[in-house]
Amino acid sequence: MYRKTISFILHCRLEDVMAAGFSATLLVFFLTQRVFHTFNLNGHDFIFILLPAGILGLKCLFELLFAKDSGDAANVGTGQYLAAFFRPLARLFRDWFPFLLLSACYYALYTNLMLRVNPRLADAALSRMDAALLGDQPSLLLERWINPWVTDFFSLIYFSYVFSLPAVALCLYVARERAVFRRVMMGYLTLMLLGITSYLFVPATGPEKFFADHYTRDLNGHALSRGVDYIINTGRVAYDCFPSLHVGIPLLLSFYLYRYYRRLFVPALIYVVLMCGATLYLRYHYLVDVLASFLYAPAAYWLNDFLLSRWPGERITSFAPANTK
Amino acid sequence: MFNIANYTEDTKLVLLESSKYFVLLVFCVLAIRLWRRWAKIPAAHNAGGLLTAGVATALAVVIGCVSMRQSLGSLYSYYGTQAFQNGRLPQALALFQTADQDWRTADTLGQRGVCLLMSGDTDRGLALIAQARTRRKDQGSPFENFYAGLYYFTKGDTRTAVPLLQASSVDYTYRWPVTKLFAIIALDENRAADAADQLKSFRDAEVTEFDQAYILASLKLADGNKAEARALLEKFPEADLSPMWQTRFEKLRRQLQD
Repeated sequence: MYRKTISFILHCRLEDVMAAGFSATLLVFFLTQRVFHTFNLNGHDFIFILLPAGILGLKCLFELLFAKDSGDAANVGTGQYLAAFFRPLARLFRDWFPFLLLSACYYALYTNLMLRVNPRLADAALSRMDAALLGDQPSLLLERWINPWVTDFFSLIYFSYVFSLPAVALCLYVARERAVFRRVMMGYLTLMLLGITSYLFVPATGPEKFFADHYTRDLNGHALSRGVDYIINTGRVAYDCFPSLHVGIPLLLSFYLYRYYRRLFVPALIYVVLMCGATLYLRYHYLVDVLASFLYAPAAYWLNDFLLSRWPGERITSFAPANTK
Repeated sequence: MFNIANYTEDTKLVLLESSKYFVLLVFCVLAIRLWRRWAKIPAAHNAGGLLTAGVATALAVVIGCVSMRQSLGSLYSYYGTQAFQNGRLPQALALFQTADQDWRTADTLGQRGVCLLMSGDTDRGLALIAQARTRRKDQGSPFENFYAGLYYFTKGDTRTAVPLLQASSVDYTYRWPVTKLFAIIALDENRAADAADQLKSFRDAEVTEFDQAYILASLKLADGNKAEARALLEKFPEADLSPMWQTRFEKLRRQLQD
């Protein structure tokens, strides 16, 4: 029985096992801590992953609505007909749900453990490193280039991050590149896990708050920038600076694009460079946060491939050959 | 208009509404497919096929009705809150009543209760607030707690008011008004030091509200600074104040003259 259970677990998809494991951990954590009343699971943390799933769900429904019944429909019973109707939706749910659950679990663990693992803020140390590298704080050095239009442009770049992964995931899923889709989603979640672990051990508020008294100029964006700034400040979980996942995730996506859609690699890299500029100009991150993401993203890429290649139920890396379209 | 300040709440709302209507869409498409199959395919032209199509249609209708009533309830409740915040009590009460008819929740009951309480129909108001609390297993919402606390405060029943106000201060919206009310309670009980302690962080803030002016003037008076206390009181003409505040301001003015 024990061996059968282990064998079953080992032959499940890795994301299923991870999602089940994290959900169970979360449940145990909250039950033992008895902090259910303070449990805070913010929808916006994973709403952006839900967006492509919703689009795919609607696409699936419209396909079902306009699809003609084949000749076989006459021969199948009502039960089988219903099963055939729900199969595409169930498959969509099956493919996306573990990733949604994992994402939600990571954020829930993160928001509830923040400053409990390490209550000491690392802003001073991070800013010292920046000063050692550049002689001063990058956000202070960039003050002379502040312009409302530049602020708007970088705000737009910074906010577009929330759509970058969902857009790539949606395209891969629509193109029926399921293996690549799962590899990219797992890579993203591996990077998220590394990032969140780092936030728990190295919490920092970022230069915008830490150097609030030092800035001589306001970023002065138009309504768009103020809106983005408000969403980020109300929507984000504080202390998530080191590393910058705004840079890390697009960088990780660029690695996958290099492997599967090489012609998109250069635009992806340009996007990463712009994102680096945006994080520093808008005072959300220190330079070391940005540099750290250049270590975390390759680490996540490698770790994800390592896990997938070693997991008995997976052969993703072998059956998803490189495509240089 | 979309209120960005309630971003998190709005995201939850979007998630809930999208899920509801997505499920509705699934059952609508299923019902259409089943009826089409029943009509076109002779083999499906049987009682089972008819029953399945009928059940799917009934489910779609039920989900649709429930979803729409719940959405309308939320919408009217939202508009009611807007009207209440703008001081239009009769309109707010009518909107909360409509919300309650569409989709009764503890919140809609409590909102109606607060409106009635503020309109002077205290018995019905308090009864509805109590019903809302019962529905939430003896938990009041910050909105209900604050206005019930405010009601008891104006009646001079601070013993009942304090726990309610304390409970409402978990909501950021009510923290500042509750701080001021606690300072006033402390002043009424001749605990000027406690009142000063309550307002410690806000002493240098610009005085924009009459209750803030009353507290600061009382504290200045306690410090012996009569001129500043008088200047604070003069910022708010007596005619603009409610009878309760007119009495307090008058009392303070008399103390300044003594």
